[in-house]
Amino acid sequence: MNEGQGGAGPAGPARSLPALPKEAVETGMRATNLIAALVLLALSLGVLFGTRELPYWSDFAPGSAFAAFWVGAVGVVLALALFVATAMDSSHRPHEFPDRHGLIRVVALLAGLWLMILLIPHLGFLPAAILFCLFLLLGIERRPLVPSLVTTAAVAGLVYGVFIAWLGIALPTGMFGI
Amino acid sequence: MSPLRAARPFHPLLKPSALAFALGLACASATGAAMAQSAPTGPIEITTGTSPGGTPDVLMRRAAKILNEQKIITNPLVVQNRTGGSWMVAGNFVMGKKGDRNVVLCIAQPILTTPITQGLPTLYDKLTPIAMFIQGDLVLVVQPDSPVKNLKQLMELAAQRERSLKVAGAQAGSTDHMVAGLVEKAGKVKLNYIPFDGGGSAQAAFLGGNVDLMTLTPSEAMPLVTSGKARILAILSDERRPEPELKDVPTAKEQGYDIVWGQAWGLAGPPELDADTVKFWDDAIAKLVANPEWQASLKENFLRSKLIPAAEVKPYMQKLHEEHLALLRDLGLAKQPPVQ
Amino acid sequence: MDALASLAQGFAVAGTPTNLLFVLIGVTLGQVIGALPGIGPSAGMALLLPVTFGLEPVTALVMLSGIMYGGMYGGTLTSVLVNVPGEAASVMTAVDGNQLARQGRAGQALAAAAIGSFIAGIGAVAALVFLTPALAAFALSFSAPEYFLLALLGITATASLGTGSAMKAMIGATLGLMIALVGTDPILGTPRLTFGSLELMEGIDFLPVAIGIFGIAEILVSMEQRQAAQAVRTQLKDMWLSAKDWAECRMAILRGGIVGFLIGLMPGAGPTVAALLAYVVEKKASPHPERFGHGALDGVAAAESANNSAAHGAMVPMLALGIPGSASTAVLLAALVLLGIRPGPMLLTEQADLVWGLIASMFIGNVILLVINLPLAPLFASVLRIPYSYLVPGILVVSLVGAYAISLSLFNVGLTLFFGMVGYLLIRADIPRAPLVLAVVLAPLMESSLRQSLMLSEGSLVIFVQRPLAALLALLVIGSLALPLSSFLLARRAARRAGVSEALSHSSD
Repeated sequence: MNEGQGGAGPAGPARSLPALPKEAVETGMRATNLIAALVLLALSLGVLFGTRELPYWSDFAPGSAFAAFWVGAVGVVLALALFVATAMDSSHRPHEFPDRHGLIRVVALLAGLWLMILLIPHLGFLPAAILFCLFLLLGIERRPLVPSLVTTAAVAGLVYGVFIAWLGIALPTGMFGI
Repeated sequence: MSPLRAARPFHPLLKPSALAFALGLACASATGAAMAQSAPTGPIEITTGTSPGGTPDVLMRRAAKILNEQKIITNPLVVQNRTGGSWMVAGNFVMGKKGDRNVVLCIAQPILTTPITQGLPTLYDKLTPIAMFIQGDLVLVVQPDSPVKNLKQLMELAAQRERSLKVAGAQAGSTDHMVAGLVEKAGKVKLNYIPFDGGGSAQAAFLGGNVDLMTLTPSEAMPLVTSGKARILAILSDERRPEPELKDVPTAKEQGYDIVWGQAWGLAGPPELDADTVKFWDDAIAKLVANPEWQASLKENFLRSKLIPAAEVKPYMQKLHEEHLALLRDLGLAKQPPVQ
Repeated sequence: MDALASLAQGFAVAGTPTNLLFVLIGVTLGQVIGALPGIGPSAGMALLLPVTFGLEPVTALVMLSGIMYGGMYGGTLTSVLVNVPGEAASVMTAVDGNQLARQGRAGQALAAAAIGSFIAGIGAVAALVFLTPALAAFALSFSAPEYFLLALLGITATASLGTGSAMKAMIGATLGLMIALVGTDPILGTPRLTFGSLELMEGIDFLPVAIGIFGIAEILVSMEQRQAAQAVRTQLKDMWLSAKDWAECRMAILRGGIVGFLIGLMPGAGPTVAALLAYVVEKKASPHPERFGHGALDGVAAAESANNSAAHGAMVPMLALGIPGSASTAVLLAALVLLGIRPGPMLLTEQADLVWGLIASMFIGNVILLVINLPLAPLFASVLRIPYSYLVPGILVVSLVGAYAISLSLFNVGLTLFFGMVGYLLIRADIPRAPLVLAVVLAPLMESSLRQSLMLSEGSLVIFVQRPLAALLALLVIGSLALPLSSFLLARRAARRAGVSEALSHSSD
C-alpha cells in the first residue's frame, strides 16, 4: 500500500494523514460540527424564507411550499440538535484537517478548475482543458515535463476522439476553432 | 468535408408542388449549375429543448434524416438536445446566436407557453420565422368500461359533482392541461386534473384505471383502442380525419362543444437571420413537405404536414400565442407578461 | 410451450450473422458509453440513433438495447476505479466499489458487479420471456400511492445509511432534499427556489450532483497530500473473485436482482431508484451492515445486479404497453417510431419477430458482456497502476466534458464543480454522502406521488391503505420504522434491568 492511492485502508486517503496535536484535533472536530450546524441552519432558513410566498396547500393536496416547509423545519431541528450534541459531546474523536500546504493545493486546483470554466467560452473547451492539465501537472504537482506532456496529449486525444469525433458532441469552440 | 462546404445551389423554379419523382433529378442536375445564391456552409444544428425521444426530437431527427438522405440539404444536419428551463435554454441559446446561419430552433409549444407561465419575455416574435410544417391532432379517451359514450354524457357526469372526474396528463401548463382547461370551459364544469411526470407516467396511470379521462395523440390512442384499453370520445380537430381508423371518430365541434386544439411544430432561425438563409430553409422545407417518404412517415403517426412558409409564419404564430395566452389566463397559469 | 417456441424463433432472428454483429457492436458501445461520466445509456443511444438509420428494425433495436444494458455494465468501471459514477444508476457502486479499489480489490469489485449484472440480467430476460403480460399488469397496479410509499421506505432508511452517527446521515439526507426542492414545482408549475435562473427551472440534474460529490470531491481530498509517484501495487492474480467473495455476494445478487427487476417494471421509477433501493435492502439484509460505505462487496453486487435487471425490467411496460419505463426505453420507443413501427399493446402480437428477436438478443448480449467484463476485470483494474497524479487531469477533464454533454451547457459544468466543493466539505465535516444522493433521487418521486395520490383520492389518506399493494407497502414502512425503535427500546429495558449503565450510554450515543 502506498499513500498515493490513499490506499491505507477502508477510511480512504484522509486517514493516512499524520496525527495532529490532540488539542487541535478536538477543537477542530468541534468547530467543524458547529460550522456544519450553522450552514445547515442558514440553508434551512433560506428554504423556509425562499418559499414563504408559495401555497402550502392547494385543493386536495399539498402545495408547492409543503415539502419545502417540512424540509426546512427538519433542517432547523437537525441543526439545533447538532449544536446541542456537539456542545455535550465529551468524547475524543480524532478528526483530520489538511495542513497549510494541503489546503493551498486544494485551493489551487479549484482555482484552476474555475479558471478553466471561465476560459472555455473564449478559448474553447479543448484548449482550456489542455491549459488546465498542464497547470495541474506542472504547476501544482510539479511533475517532470515529458510525462506531463504525454498525459495532457492523451487526455486531449481522448476528449477529441471520443466526445467530439465519435459522439459528435458540440463542445464550445473558441478562437482556435476547436 | 469539401463537398459539404460547397455552397448549396437551389433550383429556383422548383415549386413545392413539384413531386418527388422530379426531385432527385432536379437536385442532381442543379448541383453542377451552381447559382449565385449563397447558402450556409458546414454542419447545421437543429436545437431542440426535449431530451432524446421526445416527440419534437423524433420529428426533427426524422426531418433531418430525410433532408440529408434526399440531398435536399447537403450540410450535415445535427439535432442537439439543449434541455432545461422548459425549452427556454434551447430558445435562449438560439436567441444568442444573432445572424448565425448554422443553427435553427425547433419550434414547439413550450416556446410559446413557457414565457407565458413563467412571466418571461416572449421568444416567438423575436426569432426569425422559417416555417411551421408539422401538425398533430389530439383525442380525448376514457376507460373502455366507462358509462360515458360521448362528450355530452361526459359533461353531465362531470357536472354532478365538482372535481369528481379525474384527468391524467403531463406537467402543469402542458398541452394536456390546456385541453382539460378547454373541456372545463366548454362544458362549464370543473375537472380534477392530476399532473404526472410526463406522458408515459400519465398513460400508465390511465391504463392502471386510476383516472377517468386523458388526452392522447391519435398515434398513442390507436394501439390502446384496438387492444380494448381505451375508448375515444372525440377528436379535437376542426374536421374529422380521413383515415379509415379515425373517420368514425366525431369531432368535439360536431358534438356541440367548441374544443379545438392541436399541436404544431416547425423551425425558426436566430434573430437577424439573413434573407438568403431563410430562403434556403423555406425551399428545403417545401421540398421536404412534398417528399412522399416524409409524408408517409407522418401519416403512419397520424400527423399532418401542411406548410406554412416563412412569409406566413409571423401572423400564424401571433394567433397561436394569443390563443395560448387566453387559455393559460383562464387556467390561472399565466403570469403578467413583463414590460417589454 | 408457447413462449419457448417464440423464443426459439427469436433466437433464429437474433442469431443471423448481421444481428449477432450488431448485438456485439451495441453492447461494446454501451460498455464504453456507460463508462463515460455524464453520458448515460439514454444519451448515448440518442447520439448513436442516426447510425441505425437504414438498418433493419430488428438489427437497429438489438443494437440500441445493447447500448442500454451494456451501459449498466460499463458504468461500474468508472464508479469503481475513479469514483466517478459513469451513469446515474451506478452511483451506489461508487460508494463501496471505490473503497474496495482503494483496498486493492478493484478486480473483485468489477468481477462481482459483472457476475451480478449477468445473473440478474439473464434472470430478468427469462422473466420477460414467460411473464411479460402478467408483469405488465403488475406494473400498472403501481400508481402514485405505491410510489409514494416506496420512496418513503427508501427515505426512512437513510438514517441507517451513514457510516457514522445517524444524525449526520439525516443531515446528509436533508441537504439532498433541499437540492431536490429546487426547480419548477411539477404539480402547480410555480418556480421554487430557482432565484430567477432559467437553468434551475427544471431543477438540478442528478448527474452534476453525483459526479461532483463523488468524483470531484474525492480528488480534492486526495490533493491535500503530494501524491507519491507510484500507484497501487497489486498483482493480476490477486484480482480474481475468491470462493469466499462469491459466498458473500450470491444472496446479494439474488436480492438485488429481484428488487431491481420489480422496480424496473414500474414506469415511474427506473434503474437509479432500483439500484438505490437494492443497496438499502442489502444493507438491512447483510450479516455485516457496518461494512457498507467502507467497501462492502455485497453492496456493489446488489446495486449492480439491480440496475441491470431494472434496465431489462423496463422493457416490460415498453413491449407490452408501449409505455417507457425509463429514459433509455423512451429512446428505444422513439427509435421504433423512427423505424416506422408503432409501439403499443399490440406490438407483442403484430411484431412477434421483432419482439422475440430483441428478447433473444438480450440473452446473447448479456453473455457477450460477461465474456468482455469478467476476464478483463483485472485488466481494467490495472488502470490504477498508472500513478494517480497522472490520472487526475484525465478524470477531471472527462468528468467535466461529461457534465457539459448532459445539456450542452457550461452551467452544468459549473454546477458539477460546485457540488465537488460541497462534497469536499461534506467529507471534511464527516457527513455521509450516500443519504444525500438517495434523497436527491427519491425526493421528487416522493413529493409528486404524495400530491398525486391525494389528488386521486380527493384529499383522503385512505388511499394509502385501501389498495392492496399500497397497504402492504404501508405495513413495510411502519415495520421499518418500528423494528429498530422497538429493538432499541428492548435493548434499553434489558440494559436497565441488568443495571448496566454502560450499555445505556452506549445505545444513546
